[in-house]
Amino acid sequence: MTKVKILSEHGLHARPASLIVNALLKYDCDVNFIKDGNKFNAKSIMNIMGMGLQNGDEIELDITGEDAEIVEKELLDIFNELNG
Amino acid sequence: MLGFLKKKTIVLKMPINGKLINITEVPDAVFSQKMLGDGFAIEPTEGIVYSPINGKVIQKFPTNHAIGLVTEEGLEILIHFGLDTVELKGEGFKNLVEVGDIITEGQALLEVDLEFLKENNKPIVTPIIFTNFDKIKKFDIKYGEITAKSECCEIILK
Repeated sequence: MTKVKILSEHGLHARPASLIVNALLKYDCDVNFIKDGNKFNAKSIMNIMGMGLQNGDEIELDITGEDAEIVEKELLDIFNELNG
Repeated sequence: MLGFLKKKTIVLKMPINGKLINITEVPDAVFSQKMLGDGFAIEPTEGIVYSPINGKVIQKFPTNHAIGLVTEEGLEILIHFGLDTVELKGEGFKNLVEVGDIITEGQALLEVDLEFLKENNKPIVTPIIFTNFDKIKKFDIKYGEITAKSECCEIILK
């Protein structure tokens, strides 16, 4: 599974969460973020914000279904942009 | 099945003493452009957040500046106290509940030091967002000055 490190001073909160969810809602596939063995639905604002991701945290991307490769690329682009 | 026979209406109680304003007036595009969902905002005159619903706490954030609730009917409500308040790293906020707590209307959830926010140049306007907006058929909001715990919004679920 692809790993992503959060490199953003204030972690992943309202603004980044909204970017991620709004990008993912275009697709039918299931997307989960995994942190410390816990799975979070990446299409839910409340779930992503509730992960409380801090600068330096690492998550795994779990994407299944149609367009999984395209979705992974789009997500990685978003994380790269957020990580500046 | 037969869900259409049940009229599902939720009446929210004002969670903070203050003035209820349109979400589009919040000076942060994440909220005003409804990127997190639709809802309304409050210009607080007091730093106590009361539960607008009967339900459960589903999220609290390490920095305590926001809290996520779900009603008995499954509507998710995010209360995001102030703008850019994530940067305060929890200072000025005192959370009074835990994830999983069953909450009732009017129960105090969060205490906020409004003066501390102002000293740190953080806007205190507080968006209240329905994050699973796809569950809502329509909603009706009362704008203006409203006392905490009085009715402020009626939501009809799909």
